[in-house]
Amino acid sequence: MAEKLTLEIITPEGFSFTETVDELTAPGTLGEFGVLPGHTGFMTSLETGVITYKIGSTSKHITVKSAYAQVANDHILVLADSAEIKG
Amino acid sequence: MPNLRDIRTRITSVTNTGKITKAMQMVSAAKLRRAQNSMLAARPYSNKLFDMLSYISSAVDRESYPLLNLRERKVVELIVLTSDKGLCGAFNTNILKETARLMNELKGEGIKLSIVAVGKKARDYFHRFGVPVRKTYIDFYKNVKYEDAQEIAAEIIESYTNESIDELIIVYNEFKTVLQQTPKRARLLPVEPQSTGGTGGTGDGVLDRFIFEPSEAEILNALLPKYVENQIFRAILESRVSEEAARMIAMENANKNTKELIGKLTLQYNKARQASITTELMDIVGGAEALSQ
Repeated sequence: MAEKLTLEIITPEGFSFTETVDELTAPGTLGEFGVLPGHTGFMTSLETGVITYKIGSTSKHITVKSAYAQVANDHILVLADSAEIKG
Repeated sequence: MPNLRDIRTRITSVTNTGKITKAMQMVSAAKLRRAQNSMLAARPYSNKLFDMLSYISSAVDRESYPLLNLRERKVVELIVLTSDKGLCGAFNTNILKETARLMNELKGEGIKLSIVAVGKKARDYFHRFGVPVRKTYIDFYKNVKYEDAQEIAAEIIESYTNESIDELIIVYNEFKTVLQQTPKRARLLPVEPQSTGGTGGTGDGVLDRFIFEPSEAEILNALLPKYVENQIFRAILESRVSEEAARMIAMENANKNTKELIGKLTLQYNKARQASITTELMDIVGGAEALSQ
């Protein structure tokens, strides 16, 4: 699939992160969910946990705390209290 | 005419003061830059959060959310943001004056006040005038963390929800430019999201395009406190930037004044020195003349 997602993570203390990704999995309050390009618009709260995203076949992880995610037009916006890239 | 030694001592002491103010100015300039950076870094989050919030709340019924709900003002909570340290010009005076004005207005309307003092200057001020303060926060300006704002907000939101307060106003110094900071009051509770200016769309159509998980009510109920704490955090950051800017300018002025004073004193010193030489010469000439007669 040629289409990609834009993942944007922002925190109040200035951590900001933007990446073009193919696929994303996030820990929603009502269970983990995945987002692929073309997903319908939705808004959800996230548990403290790890967001996993895939670029090609490599997957990477970011830990977020007390976050909200908004998906609209293949753009995922995550507002987190704090976030950290896992090595 | 003060004697030479007095003037010399004064010049030394003024020079030393000048060194201190100069150092403080430079420290403030560095801190200002840091504070400004963290203020700018916090901006995207605030804006997006506000967008998100306006987006959802434009389509819901205000009545069913306590944080959006307007009610009669009986008790108003005031957060007053001042600095912990002085030597920053009119920074604290402006804020406290504005607070006093606001307090008078509210008292005139027969509204009870509950005050949260942030910064030593606010604490001392209310203490001096015997105003009861509900809570004091001091000593966290050095390293402002988001958790600090959350701590302040959590408690206030709770008392708002159980209706022991009906409105929340924050008084802080708004940072306009390095040269200009103006005291500002902002009403944080009840929350007033603007229905325009959101990420797009108003009215009921908006929500149809979104799936909420959990329900929109739950999300909104969680986002509203977030918004309040974020606004408090922003005000704290802004106040800190204003403080450093005010201090830098105050110190710059102090610097200018010491230079001027040193100039004046040096002139006085030289005059005094010359006068004493002239008197000495006159004495010698007078003595010589007396001898030759």
